[in-house]
Amino acid sequence: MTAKLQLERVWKRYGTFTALQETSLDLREGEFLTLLGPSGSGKTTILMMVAGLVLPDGGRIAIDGRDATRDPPFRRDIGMVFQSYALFPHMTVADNIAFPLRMRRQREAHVQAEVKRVLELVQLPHVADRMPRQLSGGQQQRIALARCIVYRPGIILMDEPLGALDKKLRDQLQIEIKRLHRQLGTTMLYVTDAQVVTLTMSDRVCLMNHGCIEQIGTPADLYFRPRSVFAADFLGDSNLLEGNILQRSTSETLVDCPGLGGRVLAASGDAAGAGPCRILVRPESMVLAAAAAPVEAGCNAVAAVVRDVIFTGNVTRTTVESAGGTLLSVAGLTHEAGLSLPPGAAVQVRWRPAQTVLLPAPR
Amino acid sequence: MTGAAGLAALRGRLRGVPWPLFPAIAFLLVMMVYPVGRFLLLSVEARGPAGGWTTANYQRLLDGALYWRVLGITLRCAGWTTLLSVLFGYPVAYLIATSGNRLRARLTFWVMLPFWTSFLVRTFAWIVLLGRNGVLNQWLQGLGLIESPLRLLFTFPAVMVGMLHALMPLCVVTMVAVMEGIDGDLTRAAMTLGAPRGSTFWRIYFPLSLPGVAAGGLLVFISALGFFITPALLGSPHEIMLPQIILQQVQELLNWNFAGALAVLMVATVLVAFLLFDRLFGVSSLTGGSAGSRPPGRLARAGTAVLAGLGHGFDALGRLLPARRPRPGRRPVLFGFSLLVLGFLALPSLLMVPVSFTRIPLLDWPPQLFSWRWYQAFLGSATWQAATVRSFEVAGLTAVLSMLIGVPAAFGLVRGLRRGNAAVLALLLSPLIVPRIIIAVALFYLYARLDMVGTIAGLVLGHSILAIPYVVVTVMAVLKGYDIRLDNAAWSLGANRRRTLWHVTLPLLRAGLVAGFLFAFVTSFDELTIALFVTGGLGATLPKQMWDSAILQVDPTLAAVSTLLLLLITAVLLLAGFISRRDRAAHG
Repeated sequence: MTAKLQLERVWKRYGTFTALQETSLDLREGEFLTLLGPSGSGKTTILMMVAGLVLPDGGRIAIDGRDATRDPPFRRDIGMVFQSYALFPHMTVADNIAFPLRMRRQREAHVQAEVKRVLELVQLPHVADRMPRQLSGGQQQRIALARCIVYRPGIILMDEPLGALDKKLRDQLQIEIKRLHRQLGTTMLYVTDAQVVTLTMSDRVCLMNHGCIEQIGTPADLYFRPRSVFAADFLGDSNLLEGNILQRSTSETLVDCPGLGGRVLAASGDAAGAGPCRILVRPESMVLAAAAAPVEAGCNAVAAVVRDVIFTGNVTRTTVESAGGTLLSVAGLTHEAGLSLPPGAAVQVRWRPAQTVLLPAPR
Repeated sequence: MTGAAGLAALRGRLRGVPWPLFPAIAFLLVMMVYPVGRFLLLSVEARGPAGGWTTANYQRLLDGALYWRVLGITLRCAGWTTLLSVLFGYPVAYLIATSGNRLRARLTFWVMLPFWTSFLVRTFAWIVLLGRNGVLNQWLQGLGLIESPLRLLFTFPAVMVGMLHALMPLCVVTMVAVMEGIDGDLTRAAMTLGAPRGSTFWRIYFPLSLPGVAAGGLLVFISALGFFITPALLGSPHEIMLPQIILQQVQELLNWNFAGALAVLMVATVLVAFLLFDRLFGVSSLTGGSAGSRPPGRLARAGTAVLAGLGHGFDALGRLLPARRPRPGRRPVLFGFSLLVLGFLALPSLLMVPVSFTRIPLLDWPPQLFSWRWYQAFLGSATWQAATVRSFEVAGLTAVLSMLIGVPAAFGLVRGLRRGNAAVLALLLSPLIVPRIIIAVALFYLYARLDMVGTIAGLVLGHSILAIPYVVVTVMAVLKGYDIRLDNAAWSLGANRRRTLWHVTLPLLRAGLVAGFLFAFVTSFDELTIALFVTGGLGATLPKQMWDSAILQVDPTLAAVSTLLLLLITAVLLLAGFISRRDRAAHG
């Protein structure tokens, strides 16, 4: 089966600035893929290329197996939702939504019926005759979505569509986009720099950095098995420490970690050879225990002193200083006893070797 | 109640009063509204010592076929100028608004170039270009396209060329201002939604740029109504316009009352144009507000259908062309057309440079190079020297006075109460809309009774009327972009109002203030209409001197003066550009 969307070795340069190095990427039919990365990482360039709004300097873009590299936007089977919504201010909401259908010369009766249908789909049937300016930000966003789905494009592109909204609305619309995706089964390419969006909605995430793909995989892949310090740092909170691989076996790797004041065990992966490396432990993988409590065999345990306890509701974050002098962040579900740990209290930080991620040391 | 508390309460109440607006309002009421009103009122006053009221002047106006014909000519000239300005100006404005920053700055410079050449000089340049032995005729004959020279000068097309050249920059700049506000995502969105280029332009971009077209057209139309120098110099008696008749009544026939009636006719025409504009587009589009707050009416629906048809037509045309994808950013047709228009705009200014070095005493083409004699004539003449000094003096004083009045007014409008702002703004901008010739005649009438004709003060006050709107608009523009929280921050850090203004607000607004000052200066420096009337016994200003010497005999001294002025203004602009660049660099 051919991929819905295929990018083959596309690249783009502006003057001396390389916006995108040679990159290849495939999307399955119906897949929700997120391009994630800091600004200037090339994610928007990819999106604009797929939309046909930016021409690649080299490479090939295929939609449904057909070469579309140099097709103008209006001859590609795509829809796009802009961060600014891009609702036409001189047309009513209904005319905005009808626009793509009229461009396709569909019968007026059909146009009206479809407009009504999608307005109900986004739960705003009553605003048809208003002007875009009379709507709230969240409503405008939904109309932009409606305008994009009304003509059932094969691929929907979204450029930070929730960026301009406040957090509560953002969360709500995320769920709505996910629901629409399930309902419509459309292939979606979503660009964002917000990590949370990525985790809730995507089938796969493509993490971009400096015009390159840093890592691509499911959200769980990226979260639990990051392949670089950048990936580990960009997605979620992390404790990142310098280390040195001492000994590897088929089941375990022994790493010297001066920052923790001792050695730690990691499950053997294929990420690192011998020599210098980085180790990653997510804050929620770490557990606090009493200083004197006995340690289970094969479990990592590091002596530490409590520095700060931050109560954030259902989760409590505790900052501790390890014997090696490094500050570690430990997160766990809140329980009242945990809140009363006084600064200066001696504790033990524990985690399983499988939760130690070995990363290559950055060059 | 203690005295201190009473004082505090009084101060609180006084703080709500829009003091900064008062000088501007008072100035325009006294210097413009009163004199113009007085002049217009003359139309219903009977002549002679008996006094009383009369409708005789209007009777004469209604009976005289001549006046209606002149009104017809005036409307025809203004209408054509407007139509052509929009038609030729739109592509240029579109190119400017959709280009990158550097290209945009360069193109804007060339559009504005005519502004920096004296209005009179440009008109003479057209005489040299279009004359019987002019550049164009020589060129056409050289190419063998024509046998004998064409009669180009003193025709309706010549008047059109002169007026178009004078007014198109205004139209382009106004349209660019609106087009720059159109979000680029909208056209991109239209394309992703399936609209080909033709439909994208006609259904999305064009309707959104219409307020700019309308505003630009209105400004051109209203300004064109008041033109009299261009038709007088380039046209024949068939192109006589309303202002010329008013001039004739005042200067030759001394019939002020009938001149007043003619002025009423002119003001009424302006008002009708304005009301029509308001009905169709709403005045808010003039001040930067835009469409989209109410659903389109029936007229707009009809317009939409027409534009949809245009869009489909162009799309069909696009499908006929080879399916080659043009590289984005290259628009050869648009670019070529714009270069032609810019060439047209720049030609007269540049033509004067070689002519100024001619050896013979004729403003003629080709110049007999090379001689400094016209520069020597200018520098050696006490009359020209005096005129130059006087022009600098008047322009400098005008700029200072209009800044003193205009800057507080701009602050008052942007920062102050909302209620009544529209009315105040309308008053402050009215000098742009009331035909200049009417202001000039009205001031002359006022000054004659106050014995102020021929005084520097009279000239400066008159020029300030014209300069204040430019100062207000320019300063308001920068103030709107100014983050008021910076002031709040300064207050929270312990600066009082005065020190905040002095140390924070004004330095940050410097670029806008400099621009406002320059606008005021140039407005006065190039002003002829008011100078014609009120200089009287006083020595002339530079434009007036040019006019006087041109009436006696057009010689290349004019070209020399024009070249020097072009150099001077270019230097001033470069300096202003340097200051604003340095400011931007300093502020990041």
